[in-house]
Amino acid sequence: MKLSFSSLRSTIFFCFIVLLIAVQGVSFFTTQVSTKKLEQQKLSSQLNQAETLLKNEMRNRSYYLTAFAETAAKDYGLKQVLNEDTRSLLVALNNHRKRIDSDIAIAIDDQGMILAKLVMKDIDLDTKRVSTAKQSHAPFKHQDWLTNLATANFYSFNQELFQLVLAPIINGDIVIGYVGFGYKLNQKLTMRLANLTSFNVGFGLQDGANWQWMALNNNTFWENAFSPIENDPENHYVISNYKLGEVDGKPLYASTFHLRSSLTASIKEDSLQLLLMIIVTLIISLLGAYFIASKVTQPLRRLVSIAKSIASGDYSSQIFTGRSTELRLLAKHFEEMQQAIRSRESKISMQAYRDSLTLLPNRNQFYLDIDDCQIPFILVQLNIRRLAEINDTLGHDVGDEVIAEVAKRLKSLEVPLYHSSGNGFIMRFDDKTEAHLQACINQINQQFESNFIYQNIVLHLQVNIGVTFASKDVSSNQLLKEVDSAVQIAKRNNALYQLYDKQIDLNTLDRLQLVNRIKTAIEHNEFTLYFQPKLCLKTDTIKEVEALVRWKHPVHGLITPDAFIQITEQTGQMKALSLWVIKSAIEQYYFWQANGIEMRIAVNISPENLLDDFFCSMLIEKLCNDSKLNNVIRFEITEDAFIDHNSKAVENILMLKEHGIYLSIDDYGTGYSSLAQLKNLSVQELKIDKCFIQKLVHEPVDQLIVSSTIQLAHKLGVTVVAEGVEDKQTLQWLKTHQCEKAQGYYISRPLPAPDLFDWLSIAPYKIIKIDEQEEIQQDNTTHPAELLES
Amino acid sequence: MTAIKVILFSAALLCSLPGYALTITVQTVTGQPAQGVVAYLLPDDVQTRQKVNALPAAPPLTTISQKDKKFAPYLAVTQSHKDVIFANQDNITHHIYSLNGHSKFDFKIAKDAQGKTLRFEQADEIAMGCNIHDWMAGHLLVVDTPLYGIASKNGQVVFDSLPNGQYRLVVFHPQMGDVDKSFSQQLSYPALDVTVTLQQALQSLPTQENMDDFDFLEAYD
Repeated sequence: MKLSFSSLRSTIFFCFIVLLIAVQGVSFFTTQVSTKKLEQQKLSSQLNQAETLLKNEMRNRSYYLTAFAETAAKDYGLKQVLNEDTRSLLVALNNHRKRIDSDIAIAIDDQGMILAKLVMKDIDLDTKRVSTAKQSHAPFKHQDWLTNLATANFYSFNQELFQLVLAPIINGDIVIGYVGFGYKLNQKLTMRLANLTSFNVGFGLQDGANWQWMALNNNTFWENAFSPIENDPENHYVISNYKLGEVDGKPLYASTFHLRSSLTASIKEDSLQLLLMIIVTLIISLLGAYFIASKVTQPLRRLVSIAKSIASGDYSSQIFTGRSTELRLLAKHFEEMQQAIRSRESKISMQAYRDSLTLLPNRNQFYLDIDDCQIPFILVQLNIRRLAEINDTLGHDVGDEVIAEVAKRLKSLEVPLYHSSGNGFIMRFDDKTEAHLQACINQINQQFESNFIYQNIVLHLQVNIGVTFASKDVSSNQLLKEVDSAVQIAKRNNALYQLYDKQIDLNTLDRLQLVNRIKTAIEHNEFTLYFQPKLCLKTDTIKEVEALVRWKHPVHGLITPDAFIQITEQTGQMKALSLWVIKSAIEQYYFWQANGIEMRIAVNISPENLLDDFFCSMLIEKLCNDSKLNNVIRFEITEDAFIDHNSKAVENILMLKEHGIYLSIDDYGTGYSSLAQLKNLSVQELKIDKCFIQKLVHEPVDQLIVSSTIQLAHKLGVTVVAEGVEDKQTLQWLKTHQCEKAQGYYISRPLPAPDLFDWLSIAPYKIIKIDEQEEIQQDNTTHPAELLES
Repeated sequence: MTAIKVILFSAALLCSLPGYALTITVQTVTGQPAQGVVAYLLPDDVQTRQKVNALPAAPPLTTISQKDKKFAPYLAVTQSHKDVIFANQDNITHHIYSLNGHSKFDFKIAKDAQGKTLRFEQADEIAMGCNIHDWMAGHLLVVDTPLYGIASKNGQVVFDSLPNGQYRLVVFHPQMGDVDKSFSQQLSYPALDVTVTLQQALQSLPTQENMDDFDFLEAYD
C-alpha cells in the first residue's frame, strides 16, 4: 500500500480517517459521559433502593412489633398475671414472645418498674436461648419511652441493641403497665438486609468522631475498623448513612455501603466492550474508507496511466474509467482528446517531415533516414537555377509549378528524394560510388532535357548539382554541408555539377566561423595587406600595386578574401574593413615613400561602401584635401556596383570622380555591366577579368574580346588592365595590342610588403625612385592624352 | 398548700344553726363548674366519726349499668361494706374486670342476667374495663363515709343535715391531675360554704365508643 500524502486517494482516505475518528471519538465520549451519568444514577438508585429497603424493613418490623405489642397488651391473661407472681408473668410473656420470635420481651408496671424481662441469647446464628435478666424489678431506664409509646426505640442491653416497641396495658381507661417486644439489630439481620439490598449493611453508634459497630453483615469490615463516617478521599466506597434514632444519647446509624469498583465493574466492562467495538468498527471503517478512496480514485489513476501512455505517444489506449455517467462522459472526452491529438500530431509530423508543396519528405526526414543508410552512397543536392527570376517575372504560382514539375521528374528516378529547401532537392544514390557518378549525373540530366510548358510558356529547366560521396561514416550534417557547398560552386561556375572537395568545405566552414570576428580581428591587427604589382607594359615599370587583404587567423592561418568578404558584406562590417584597408594602404604608401619608392596602391572597395554617403565624403576628405593622395590611392570596384542601377551608388561614384579620385572597374566582363553605364560613369580604368586572359593565346574568341575591349576602352579614354597573366606569350600579346597594364602570376603573385620590397630590387622591371619623381609626374599627365590619340 | 384556694364565707348566724346544709362548689381551673367531680367528707376525729356512723339514713345502693356498651355512670361512688350492683342492660355479654386496686375482680354478666352484686371492704379507686369491649371504661370510688356527692351541673355538692364536727374534704375524679388528687382540706362544721378550685385541667373523658365498629352482615352465605 503506497500512499503519498498529496494524492487524492490519500486525501480522501485521511479525510475519512479524521471523520471516522471524530465520529467514533464523539460517540465514545458521549457514551462515556452517559455511562458515567448512568453509573452515577445507577449507584444513587441502588443506594436509594438499599436505603428504602432498609427503612422499609425497619418500619415493617416496627409496625409488626407495635401491632403485636398492642395485641399482647390487650391479652387479659397477661393483664391478669401482670401483678401476680413473676414466674407466671414470665411464662405468659414468653408465650407471647414465642409467637413473633422476638429477641426481647419486657413487662413494666405503671410505676416504670421492670416486672419481667426475657432476652434471647444467640448461641449461634440459628440457635438461641431465652434467659431472664437480672434487671427485673429495677426501674426501666427509659421512662420517657413510656409516655411516648408505639414508636420504635433502640434499647441497648448487654452490648446488644434491640429495636423495642412498648405498648400500654390498660385496665378500663387507666394504664396499669407496659409490655414491650423487640428484635435484635444483629448480624443475622444485617446479613438478611445485605442480601436484600446487595449492599453491605451495618448498624453503628457515632460517638463524636468515633464509630462503633453494633452489627455488620461482613465481619471483615468490623475487623478492619472500617468507618462509614470517615472521609473516603479516594472515593472507593459508595456510602449512605441514615439516622435511626439514639441509643443512650449517641446517634444510631444504619449504614449501607459498597466498594464502588465492584458496583461499577459491570459498567466498566461495558465501557471496555464498547471501546473494543469502536476499535473494531474503526478498523472495518478504515478498510472501507481505503476501499472507497481507492474506488473513487481508481478512474483517476486509470486516466493518469492513459495520460502517461498518450504522453509517450501511444494513442491506442482503451479508455475506460468507470460505469458512472460522469466518468463515462470524462472517458468520452478523453477519447476525443486522444483522437484530436493523434490527428494533430500526424498533421504536425506531416508538416515536419514533408514539404507541403511537393509532399516529398523534407530535410528532417532526411536526417531521420540517413542513420539507417548503408555506405557507400552518392549524395546529390540539386538546385533549380534562376527560380528567383521565374518567381519575379512569372509569379510564384509558376515558380511553385516549376518546383512541382522538377519534383515529379526527379521522382521518376525512383531513388530516395527529399525536398530540402525552396528550390533544393536532395537525392541519395545508394550503393553507388565514384565510378557511377557520371551515370547518375546523366540520369538526372536526362530528366531535364525536355522543356516544361506551362500555360503556353516554354521553360527550360536548368539545375545545379552538388555531389559528394559518402564512403565513410560522416555525419549527415557534414554531408549536407558538402553537397550544399558543392552546389554553390556549381552555381557560381554555371556548371551542371560540382563534386565536393575539401577546399570548398574549408571555405564554407570558415565563413561561418568568421562571421562575428571581423571587428575584433581589426582591433587585434589580424588583417594584413598583400600587394600584387601591376606592370606598365609600355615602360616595363612597376608603378602600382593592388592591395589585397589577408586575414592571419590565429586558428585557420592565412585566409583569402573569398572566404570572408561576402560574409563581411552581409553582416554590415564592410565599412570598417574598407577603412582599415585604406588606412593601411596610406601608411604603406608613406612607408615606401620614406624608403625612396613611389608606388601607387589600388584598393578594392565594396559596392556597399558606395551606398554610404558618409564613407564617400570621408574618402574625399582623406584623399583630396591637403594630402593630395587622390591619385596615389586608387579604388577598384566590381561591376555589381553598377548593375544594381542604384542611383545612389552612381551618384557617389560620380562625386568621387569629380573630386579626382581614380576609379577602376574590377573583373570587367563577367557581370552584367552595361556599356552605357560605363559611358556615363567615365571611370579611369578597366580591369579585364582573368577568365578572358588565362587562355588568351589559345582562344581566338578571347583574343577578339580582349582586343575589342581594349579598343573600346581606349576610345572612351579609359586605361585597360589585364588580370591573370600567367605566361610570357600572353604578356607579349597584350603588349602588342596596346594594353596598358598587366597583372598576374607571371609577373608576381601577391606578396607581403617586405617581400615586395625585396622583389622589386631583383625584378627585371623598373621602378620609380623618389628622385625620378618628376618623370612620373610627367608620365602620369601625358598618359590619357596618348590613349585618346591612339 | 397555698395552691388550693378555699374561700370561706362566714356567717355567724348560719353557723350557729345545726343541721344546716353545706354546699361545696368545685370549679375548674378556668372557673367553670366542674360537673361530675366527686366530693366527699371524711370524719377527722372519733367524735365526728361516731356522729356520722350514727346518721340514720344511709345513701341508696350504687348501681353501675352496662348500657350501650358503656359503663353508666362512668364514675360511680359507693360506701365501703355496701353492695354495688352491676346491671347489664345491653343484649350482649360483658366481661367486667378490674386489675388495679386492692380488690381485683372479674365476672361475666350475660344479657338478661340478674345484676351482679359486689361489696368492697375498704376504700379504693377501682378502674373497670370489659374484656370483650376494650373501649369500655368505668370507675368506682369506694369511700369510708356516707358523706359523698357528685358535683351537679353547676359544680355543687350539697350536704344536708351534716353533724357538727371535724372533717376532711377530698375531691376525686379519674381525669383529675395528681395535684388535685392529693388535695384534702380540713373543714370544721358548721362552716361557710366551700369552693374548691382545681389546679389542673380535667382530662377529657373517654368516649367509650368503639372506633372500629363493624357492620353486621344479614347472614353468612
